[in-house]
Amino acid sequence: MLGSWQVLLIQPYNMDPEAARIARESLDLAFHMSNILDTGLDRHTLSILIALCEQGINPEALAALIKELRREPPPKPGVP
Amino acid sequence: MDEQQDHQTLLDLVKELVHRLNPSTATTTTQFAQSLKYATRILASRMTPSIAADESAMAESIKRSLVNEGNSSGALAFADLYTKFSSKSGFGTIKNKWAVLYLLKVVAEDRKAAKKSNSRASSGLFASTVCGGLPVVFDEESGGAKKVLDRNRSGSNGVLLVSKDSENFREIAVREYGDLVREESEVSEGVLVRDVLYACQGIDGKYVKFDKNFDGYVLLDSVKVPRAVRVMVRKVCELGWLFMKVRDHVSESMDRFPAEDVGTIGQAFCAALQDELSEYYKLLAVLEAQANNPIPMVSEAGNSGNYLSLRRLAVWFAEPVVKMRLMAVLVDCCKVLRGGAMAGAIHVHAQHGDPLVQEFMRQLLRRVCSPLFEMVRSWVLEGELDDIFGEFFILGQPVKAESLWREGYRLHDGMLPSFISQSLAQRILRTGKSINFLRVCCEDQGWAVAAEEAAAAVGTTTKRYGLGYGETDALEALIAEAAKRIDRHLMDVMYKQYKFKEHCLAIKRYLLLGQGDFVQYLMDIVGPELSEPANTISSFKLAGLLESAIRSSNAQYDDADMLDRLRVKMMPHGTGDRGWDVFSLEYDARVPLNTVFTESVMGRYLRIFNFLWKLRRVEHSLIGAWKTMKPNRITSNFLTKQEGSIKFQFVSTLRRCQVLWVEMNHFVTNLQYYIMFEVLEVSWANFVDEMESARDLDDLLAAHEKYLQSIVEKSLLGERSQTLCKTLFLLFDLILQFRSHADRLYEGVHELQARTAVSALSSQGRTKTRQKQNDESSWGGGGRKALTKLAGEFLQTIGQDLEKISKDYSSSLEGFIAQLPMQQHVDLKFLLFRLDFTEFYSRLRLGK
Amino acid sequence: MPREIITLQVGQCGNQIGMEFWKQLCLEHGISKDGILEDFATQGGDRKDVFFYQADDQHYIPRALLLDLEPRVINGIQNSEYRNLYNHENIFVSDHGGGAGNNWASGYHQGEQVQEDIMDMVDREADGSDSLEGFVLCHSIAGGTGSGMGSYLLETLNDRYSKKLVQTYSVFPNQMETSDVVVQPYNSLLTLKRLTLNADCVVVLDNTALNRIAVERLHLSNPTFAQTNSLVSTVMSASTTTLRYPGYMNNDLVGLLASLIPTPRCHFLMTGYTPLTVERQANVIRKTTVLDVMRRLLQTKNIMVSSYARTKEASQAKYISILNIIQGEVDPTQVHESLQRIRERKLVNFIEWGPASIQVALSRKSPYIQTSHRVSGLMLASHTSIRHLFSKCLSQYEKLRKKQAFLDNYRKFPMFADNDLSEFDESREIIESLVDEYKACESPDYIKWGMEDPSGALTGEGNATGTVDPKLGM
Repeated sequence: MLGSWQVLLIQPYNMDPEAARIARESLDLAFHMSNILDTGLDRHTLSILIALCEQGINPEALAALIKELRREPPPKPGVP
Repeated sequence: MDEQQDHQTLLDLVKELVHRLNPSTATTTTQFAQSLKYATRILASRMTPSIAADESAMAESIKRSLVNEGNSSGALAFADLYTKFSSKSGFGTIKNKWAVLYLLKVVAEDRKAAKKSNSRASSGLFASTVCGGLPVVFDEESGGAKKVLDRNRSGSNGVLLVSKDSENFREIAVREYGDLVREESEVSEGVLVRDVLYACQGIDGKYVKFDKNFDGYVLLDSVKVPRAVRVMVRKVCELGWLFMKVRDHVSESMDRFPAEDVGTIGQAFCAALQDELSEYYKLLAVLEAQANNPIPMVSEAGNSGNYLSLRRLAVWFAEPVVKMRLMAVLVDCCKVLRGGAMAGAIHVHAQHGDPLVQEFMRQLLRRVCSPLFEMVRSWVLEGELDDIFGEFFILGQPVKAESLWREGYRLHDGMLPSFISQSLAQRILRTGKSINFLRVCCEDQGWAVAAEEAAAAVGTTTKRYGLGYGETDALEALIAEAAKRIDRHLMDVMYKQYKFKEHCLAIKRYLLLGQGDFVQYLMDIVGPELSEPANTISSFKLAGLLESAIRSSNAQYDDADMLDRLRVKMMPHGTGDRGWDVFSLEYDARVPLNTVFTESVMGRYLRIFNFLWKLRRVEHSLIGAWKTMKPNRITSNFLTKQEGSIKFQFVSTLRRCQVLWVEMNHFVTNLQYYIMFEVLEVSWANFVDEMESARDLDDLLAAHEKYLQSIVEKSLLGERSQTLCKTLFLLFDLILQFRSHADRLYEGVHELQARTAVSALSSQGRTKTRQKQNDESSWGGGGRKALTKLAGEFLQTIGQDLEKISKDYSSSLEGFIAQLPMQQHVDLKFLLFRLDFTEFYSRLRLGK
Repeated sequence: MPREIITLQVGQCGNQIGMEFWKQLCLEHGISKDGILEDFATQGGDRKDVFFYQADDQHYIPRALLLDLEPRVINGIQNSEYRNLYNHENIFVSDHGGGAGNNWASGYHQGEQVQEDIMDMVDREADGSDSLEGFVLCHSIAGGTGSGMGSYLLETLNDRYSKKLVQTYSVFPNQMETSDVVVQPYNSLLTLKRLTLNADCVVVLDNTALNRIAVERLHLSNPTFAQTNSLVSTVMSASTTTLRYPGYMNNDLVGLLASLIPTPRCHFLMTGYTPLTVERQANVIRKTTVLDVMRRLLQTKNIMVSSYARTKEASQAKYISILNIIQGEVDPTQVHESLQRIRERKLVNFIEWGPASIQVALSRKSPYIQTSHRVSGLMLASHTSIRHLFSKCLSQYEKLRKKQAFLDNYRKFPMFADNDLSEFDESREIIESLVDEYKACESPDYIKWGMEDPSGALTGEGNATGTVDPKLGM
């Protein structure tokens, strides 16, 4: 199912203006909260993450991914 | 929307994410492909979260951890944002808000952990402290494989994270309990929570009010609630009571200031309390916001939102209550205290085993003590007593310059906090005192350099507000350096600029009669003057005589500054006093030396002078007697050529006079030797030694005091030698009486001699003219027979007078000698030894 | 008011020792041979004006009179480096320059004849003093000028300045060797009478002992006069240190002497000095503590009067008084300790009829003289054994008198004209009485001495016999 969030990211021009406003506001709020918590995420990255969450991805898995990707350059070939 | 499209969207998102997080790698490289592969694997591996999706609990947990980080404003802002965030609905809203929150939380924690891990591998201590005693419910569904709490993360921070419990055993039990409670209660818990929140701000609520009898907030009796709830309300409301106490103290103190002397330390204390209260207010604001959310029915559990229950409140308040209680205790014990006493009282409460309390108290004390340490710093380095409120443990009072050192400043024990030891306080006192002494009494500027050097040697702690509570070593070091340098400088100024030792020597020479030739001439020329009645003597004339005694003795080579300070002093005289009774010398010590030579010190010097002067006068008078009876003054006398009793009378009278003179002279001479060697010189030698090792003015004062006291005691002028001293002065008076009798005797003898010469001249015709003829002889004219008769009578009277003096003298002297060994407090064996060197007096007593 | 002291140097011996004395004083005060203060002499603390006065041109001039009846010694001084030191108006050499021929009577007579000139000089010096303390006479008692003219001066000073002190430094002849002056016993006896009656204090310088000290202590096989004279000048300067370096006590001569001379007649003092050197030749540095100094001062070998230790009566001898003048860097606390040790060891015998003790004066040392010893000491003491010196003089006189030898030389002069030898007899009586008084001092009953008949005194029926010389009853 493609939610409004995907629309926001991929097809912004297609969106219902009211939904886009709410989405933007929600993203703003989330971004503020993110800043308070000092997550270090930029607005765009956050929107991707929200979209992924909306896709039902486990936030723990997402967090682990962020942590891994931030910590080091991508793993060498051969490493699982 | 088919799965294919979903998958594609997902993949695009992941791609985008990987690219955002690692912008350096181009999307086409194998490295990127690797990363992407890795990402999909991670995402695929964790299909479901490990905790239940309770959105409001999550928000709560985040808030809590913000508060715990000390970021209560952050928490407040977050609560606000979250309220808005969660209220968004409709198309375009984020549906899985919990997931977003959870993600943010975990990312934030990961980031923090990554930052911290550089320095500290584990934050276990911190975590355990914070989590301590909080309820944690574990999910045991999947055989312990899935834990409610990720142990790697610092966790739930006091918020209940209820795990998914498919079996719902607990929930069912709780729900049943809740139903039961609701039936018992007239008032909803939400209302109670709000009331409690009011109470915790010191405001009466609808049901929870302040009860004066109970002295605390209680739930009105009329409200029907379960006992447990009532107890809990009361318990939670303790915070309110404590809060009121603290708040009232703060506002009272603020109101009093500046009219009453709260003092800078009191202010600092209030300010610290006020800051704590502000933090508390923020917390309350957050909680109040939460209290607006309805408390879900137990049946609605699993959907636990951002609400407050009494129980939750109790958890929230766990830590504030500890702090508030501490503050209340401090407020209580500091109520009547000010300044250093207040700091000391607070310090007493800092001795606590709980590191949390310790840390809190340390912070508080740093702020409270800051003005105190600033006072210490400016006192020790600048000699300034910035203490308008009388909070410092050093008190100053306006005094004359000469008493500045002794009385100008003193320790105020009541204001001495227990973290500064008495000895350190003494050193602090003296250092600042030294600066003030230098500044006020010595008009010295050099102390500033010494202070600067001290500051430089110690380092940063000497900057303004550089010293703080708990830095005892730094304080000690500062005091030690400052004291050492300032005192050394002060000693230098005293010795070099103000010539302390030279003045002591001058006093010894003039007031203690060390300059023998000067004393002798002075006595020679003021002697006749001083025999006049005291009220006829002009001190102006005496001053002139003093001047000429200086000029004609070796005193003339002395420093003019010192001679200038030497004055004649006439003591108040009574009727019948002679000049001798009131004459004395004084030495004008002047600032700063009059700190050592105070009025009372000079008073004692005066007493010593009077004693030594009297002794010198007695000696002088005995030598005068010797001059009248000296060997070549009696050549021959007709009386010795006479037959019979008159000859023996003559011989025996002269012999008695002589022998008495021998005894008296022996006494006076040996007393003088004793005074010189055993008293003055020995005391001086000790004094010089102590002067050299004196490190500060107190040492110097003590050394001088010891010197002076030893002279007073050994000269028999001490309190406990009064009888001995009285006998001594009696002996002196007898000797002076003897002098006049001896003079009378020898005058008579010389007259007789003159008459003999006249008769010898006429009878023999030898051409020797030895004596002037004296026709106006008091012996009258007449023949030898009449002369002999007159001589007999004269000798008899004089003989009787001498006999009487001799008797009085012997008995007084015997008494004096007998008393010497009984003086316990002062060692007079030297004097006894000298007086009885040949054991003459011992034999005399044995012979009795 | 410096309590000035005027020195009279009479005769050859007197001028020789006087010269040595002034040399020593100049050294100690940093005064050059011309009387100018040396540049280095700035340390002060000393009193130069007791013995010197300052002329207008800043010269320090000794308050000294140089008197002789023959010119040899005084000419020597006037041709020496010190010729500019003295006031030339203060030098008197008799016109004929023939001396007194070792005859007391001649010296006395000539003194009488020139007395006006001399007393003018004395009066001038006395007038130049603010507060004259007294006179010091340096002379020998055996020759003619020092003894005879010295005697005349003593009588005159006693008469004219009766309130001033008269102290003498009197050199007694060497009795161990035969003198070239055969009439020495006559001269000594006649001088001793004046020393007894007209002086307040006599410092006895016994040539016998000085020679012994030079031989035994200084290892000089044949001591010269210059060498023994330097011993004398050492004693003279040391005995005046407390007057020249004022301290708490003993700042004037009268105070010093009063305690030393409690019985007026017994005013003959012995001296001792340690450590002894000649001409300040550096000796081996000696260990000199106060105790050492004080103990050595009590040893007869250091005393400058012949000891008569072998005589039977020596054990009876007693000290009437002792004053030790210690010079140098001394810790005052050592004084008491030393006194204690001396008493414990019974090193000193004092009279028993009155209290007595060893007096100790500490005095500064001149900063201008380097010595090999840190501490030195002078003892001034009145000791009854001195009577043996007088007895010896008496017995030598008796021997000569019995033979009626050499009396003609004396009869030529007015005092002995017409064969009137009563002056000899009177002198003998007085010296005998002096010896008796010293002897009496050895007994605890000295107080009653001369009043052996107290009952007679009470009843008014006293008799004049007994041991009392009527003239010396006191």
